[in-house]
Amino acid sequence: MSTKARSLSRILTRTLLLALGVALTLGTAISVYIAQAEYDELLDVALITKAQLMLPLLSAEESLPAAAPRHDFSQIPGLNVDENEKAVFWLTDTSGAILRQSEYSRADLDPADVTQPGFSTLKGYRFFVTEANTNGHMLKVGEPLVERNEAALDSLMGIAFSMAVLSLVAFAVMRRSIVQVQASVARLSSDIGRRDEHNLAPIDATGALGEMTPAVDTVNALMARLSKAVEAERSFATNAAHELRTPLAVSLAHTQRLKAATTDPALQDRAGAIEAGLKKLIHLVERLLQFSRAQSGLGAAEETSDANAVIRLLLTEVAERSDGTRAFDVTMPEGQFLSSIDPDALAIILSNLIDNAVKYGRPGAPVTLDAASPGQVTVANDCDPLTADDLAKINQRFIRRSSAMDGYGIGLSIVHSLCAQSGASVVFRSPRPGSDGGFAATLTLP
Amino acid sequence: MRILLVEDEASLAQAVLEHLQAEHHLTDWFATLDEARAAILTLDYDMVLLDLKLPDGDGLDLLQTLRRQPAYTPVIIMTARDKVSDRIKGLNLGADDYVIKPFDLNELSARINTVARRRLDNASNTIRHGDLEFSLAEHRVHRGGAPVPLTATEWSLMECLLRRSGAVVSKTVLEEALYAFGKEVESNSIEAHISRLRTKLGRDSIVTHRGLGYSIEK
Repeated sequence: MSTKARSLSRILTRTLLLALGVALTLGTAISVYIAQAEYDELLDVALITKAQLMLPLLSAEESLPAAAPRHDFSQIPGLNVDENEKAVFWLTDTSGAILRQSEYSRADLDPADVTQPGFSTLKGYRFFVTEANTNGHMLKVGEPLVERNEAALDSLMGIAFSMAVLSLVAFAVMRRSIVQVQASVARLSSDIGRRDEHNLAPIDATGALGEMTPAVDTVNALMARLSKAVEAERSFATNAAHELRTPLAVSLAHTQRLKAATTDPALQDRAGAIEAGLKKLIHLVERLLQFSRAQSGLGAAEETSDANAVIRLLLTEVAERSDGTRAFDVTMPEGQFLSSIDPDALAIILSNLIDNAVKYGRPGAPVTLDAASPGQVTVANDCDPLTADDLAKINQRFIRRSSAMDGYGIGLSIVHSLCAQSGASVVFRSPRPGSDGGFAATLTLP
Repeated sequence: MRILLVEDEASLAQAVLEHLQAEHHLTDWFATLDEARAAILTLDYDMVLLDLKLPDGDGLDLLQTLRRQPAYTPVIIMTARDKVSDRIKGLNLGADDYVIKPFDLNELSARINTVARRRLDNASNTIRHGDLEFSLAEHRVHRGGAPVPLTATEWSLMECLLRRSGAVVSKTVLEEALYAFGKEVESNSIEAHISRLRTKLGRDSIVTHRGLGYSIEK
């Protein structure tokens, strides 16, 4: 059972985006927090300074005789600000009695709520209460938090904007890096994917990532070994064909000579039996050699060639060499048809289809070999129509229609194997087109 | 026919040799390219049966040598190489036909007859000459419908003339057609055989060209 492969690009994008998002969020939060803390500290220092400056002034003014004029704080430039931003203060004695206060105040603000010296935050204000001075006066100064909040918001917005720009740049750079890595991996993967028993050329590591180079070297080394093994297998099949054929030829020739030379009927019969056995053995060896070559990946050629030249040769050979027991209705192909199928694979496929047609065709009826359609060869014979079940079984490897049909399976198995390797296809029909009986096999070349 | 058999497998060559002799062909057998090259330079053959994988080279080299010669000698390749590309290559280089080992000796005979017939441009494999009818495949002669028995030597001589029908065939060529490589030839044997053939087939069946040789009319 296969599982859906995960995408490297998707994993990298998702992981890096998540990490980038978390890092930017945390960075923004920490930056805002630190900026806010520093700003608060600065404003607190300013508040202390303000209180420490105002207290001696107000305290001194308060200590003047009652008739002496008092300063009007509302006239001090810079204090005329938005109400929400106006500071408040109270000059009190140690008992909390208010001696002086800012012109602006809010009804809900009560100096009694802030009594302890130091900082406190209350009702949207930041308060600082001084210690009592030598006159027994204390100053309570409050500044609205609005400005601080605005500052915090401005900081947040500024940092967030910077982070957004940063994240866009980071995403673009990251995406570009991912695409480059992915392209390199995809190129390598595609290169490796194109390798099969017909293409074991070394993979070009130019442009591959440094981290992938050892893997490419290993794959190339393995393919070199595999190439040698496949070549050895093919050579074996070819050499075995030669080495087996010669002694069989010697045996058959001498048996036939023995049969022809003797006048003893008993010896002639025996020689005839040996001859028949040898011919059966030769046929079987031929099929096994074809099977061996099919198994070694003979199907597809590295270069295209004219399939019609092979078809013409084979059909001429079949028609010319008929022993007279079977007629052939041959239609030759015209012109060239360039195909990627290996010429030997094509010859083996056709010879098997023709052998089957001759073997299972109705005695006396001609076998049709029609190569008129470009890239197609139809081999048809007369016989009783096959059942759908039989037709389906013919497509299965080593399936035999009956025990009497010896050898039917391996021939079609070879055909299927070579077709699968070369990209050719064979369609079996019964009854044959235009008839109520017969069997037709149509080979379509790649 | 005078046939050159080039085959390095002695046992197979022996069986093929016997088979061809039984079919009244005069056959010379050589196992190497060098010997075969020497033979084709020395004698005219009607047919060459050529193995490809020979101890001193590829049989296709000999085929190319033959095709460079002015006289055309039909060649049948006998090979254990079953690759169709090898067959196409052999045919493209000028081979007339091929048989793949292991082959039936009768199939070999059929191929020899087919190629010979093609060479004679005679589809029926039968040559008619006046009241004479020669069956090349069966090595039989009929005169006026009645069979005429010929010896193997007489048939070889007649076949040599039939295959060169219309042309004057020298005594040397006829001697080569009759005698195996290296055997002694008696000085008056051709004349004796021609005389016997005329007795059996008719006085005008063979024309004498004094100082040149013999012919039969086309």
